[in-house]
Amino acid sequence: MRASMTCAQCRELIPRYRAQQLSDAERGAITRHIAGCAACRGELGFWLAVGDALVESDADQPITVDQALVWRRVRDALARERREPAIQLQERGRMTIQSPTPTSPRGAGMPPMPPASSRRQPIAALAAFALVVALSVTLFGVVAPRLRQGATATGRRQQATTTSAACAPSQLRQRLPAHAELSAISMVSARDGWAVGQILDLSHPATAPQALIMRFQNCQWRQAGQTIPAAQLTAVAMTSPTDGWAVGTTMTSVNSGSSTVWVDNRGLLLHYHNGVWQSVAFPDSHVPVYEQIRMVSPTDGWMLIFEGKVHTTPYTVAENYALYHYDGTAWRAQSMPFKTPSLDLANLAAGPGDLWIVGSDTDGFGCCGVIARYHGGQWRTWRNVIRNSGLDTFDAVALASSRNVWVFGTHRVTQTPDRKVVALRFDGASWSQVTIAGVPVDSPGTVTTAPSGDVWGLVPSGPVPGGPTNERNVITVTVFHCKGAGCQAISSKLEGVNNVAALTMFSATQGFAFSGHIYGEASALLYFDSGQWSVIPSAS
Amino acid sequence: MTRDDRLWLARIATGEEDALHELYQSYAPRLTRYLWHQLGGDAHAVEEALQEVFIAVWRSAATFRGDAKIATWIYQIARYSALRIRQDRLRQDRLWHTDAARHAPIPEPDEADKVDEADEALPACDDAVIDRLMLADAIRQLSAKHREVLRLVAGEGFGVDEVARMLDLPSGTVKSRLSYARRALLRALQAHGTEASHS
Repeated sequence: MRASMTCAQCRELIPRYRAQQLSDAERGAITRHIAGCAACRGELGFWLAVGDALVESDADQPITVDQALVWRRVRDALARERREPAIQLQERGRMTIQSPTPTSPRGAGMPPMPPASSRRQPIAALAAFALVVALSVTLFGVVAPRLRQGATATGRRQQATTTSAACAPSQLRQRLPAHAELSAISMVSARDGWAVGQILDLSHPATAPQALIMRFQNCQWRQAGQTIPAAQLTAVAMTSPTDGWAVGTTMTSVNSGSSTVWVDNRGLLLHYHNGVWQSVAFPDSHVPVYEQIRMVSPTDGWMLIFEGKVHTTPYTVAENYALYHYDGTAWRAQSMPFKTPSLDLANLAAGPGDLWIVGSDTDGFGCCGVIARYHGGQWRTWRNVIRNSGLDTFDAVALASSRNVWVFGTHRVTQTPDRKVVALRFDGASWSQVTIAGVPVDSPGTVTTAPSGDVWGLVPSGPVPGGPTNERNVITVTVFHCKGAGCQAISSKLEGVNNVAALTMFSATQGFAFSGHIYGEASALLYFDSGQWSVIPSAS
Repeated sequence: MTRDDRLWLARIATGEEDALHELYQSYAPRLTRYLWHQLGGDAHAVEEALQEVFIAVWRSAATFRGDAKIATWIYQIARYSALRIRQDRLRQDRLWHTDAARHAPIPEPDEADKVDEADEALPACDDAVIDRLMLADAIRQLSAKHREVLRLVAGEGFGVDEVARMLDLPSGTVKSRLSYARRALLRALQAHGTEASHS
């Protein structure tokens, strides 16, 4: 500080004088200046009065905060984090983690936390982080609906190393954050599992969505770690209690007329290993609209990336897909020689050395279902499996074993509106069509394979058309159960939710699903047992 | 204080909970006051925010880059916690009693945030008799954004650049809001017929 201070310099510091946050040198300079400057002396008097008024105003409002209680809660929270390995997002690979850019709506979402660090001991509390918002922008919402619905289909996965009895239904609890919207569930065992999705406040669209990770432990679903700002997670696949993957996208905001819209920005790939979620560079810098991931083991997995549509002719669009295989060290591109520009891929299932992908080839005029298998390093495809003339749409595939593969979809008789659900079964040599009586004519939204090899399918359930749309109805949920060579449909009522999605089984007859908030209401996690549904109560 | 902050944070970064407690004891009273005004006197909300702030400090201590004062960083975390809680509360349709709800704010000029280097020529108040109660009332009548800047500068002693960082605003905007608050309070003093002696 210079020995002689100007009035401008003095007036810049004076407002802070009373709060005693100025250095001794600054206070000394002010004192010397006001000795010879009445204007600044008056200014100081004014700001001292303002400071006094602030203090007196505070005194008029007794602050009833129990600071000792707050400290005890902080201490307890830290102790809890030490007991349970924390979720820590760390930088790895080429992905850079930085504070959010100003493109995020100011003041919304998460605070600008410093980047995560790996310097902490694994047992210590986790470090907060934030993701950088990158540069390119893709259209938001260009998501193949069938991809989204079929996202939780699984093949036979590696069994958990520990077997454990399921929680009693009365023990189940959930702590879903407000505005949570789950996308996928992956169970490691009856007592351990993960779910991913996002927190999205539809009433405040300018607020950035936040990627959400939930964990099921001690019979309770609750948020794991911090959310990831300006991001969403769409799929998760666990291979064991200590290993798994989650995938999604980071988001960026764009102005759309008078409103702010959040669009996909860059792929987001997370690897869970020994208690820590780490971000990993997305392969080949894809900008996905949607992804599916299937893990067979910690060293064997598949990821199907959908990048959006392009017009191939004025009348047709091609949907861009990329397939990657994980071999324990890296995700490497896998060619799909059966793919055509008109092929729409819906779902995949994977087992040891066995990958299945189903979809539909529009071929410019009609639609025929396509089944592709990658086995022994070779691709094999089936088209026109259903010999009757018609249009097939294959939406889901489930791999009970290499000799028990199920494909589900719909079949429409040409030039008629008649549609029916189709179920195809592969016995290792040939395909046969299986009739499932009692299933609504709609494509299965979710197909899941239980550890026992039972295949369960969930037909999308929602409000009755024409019925009330902002109330929680009693809805009819239809599942079908395929065991051996046959399938059976089971319909049941469920009250208190508007829809059911993403059934994931952890035993032959038990699983979890969730109800998404489609009318602005909160999501809920659901428990499924032998065809009966219940809403998991909130933890108090 | 600043040197203590750095030492505490360095110890917190190595996992020393005692250091976090010391930092907590140093900052809790000021932060409580700040959060109290941010959260409309809702004690539970303030407790929630305060807890969130120090858990965040614990988690982030190792990665604090030192490119801002620790106090500025902590207040920034506090502000965002308050914002999040306010948004949560609003979503849950809780009644929110803020000063703005009790007192009609002084209408703001159309371009209140424009940087205005030329302060209004107001008489110097050398030995002014200033009614502090009236001044407190005038402070309450400011809009939330001007009152927040006023509190952070005059109440907490943060510099303009520090407040700008906390609020994620340009420094010029902070200066402008402070200048506006000053003019508004001085006008209120004049309007209430406060006697002032002029140099």
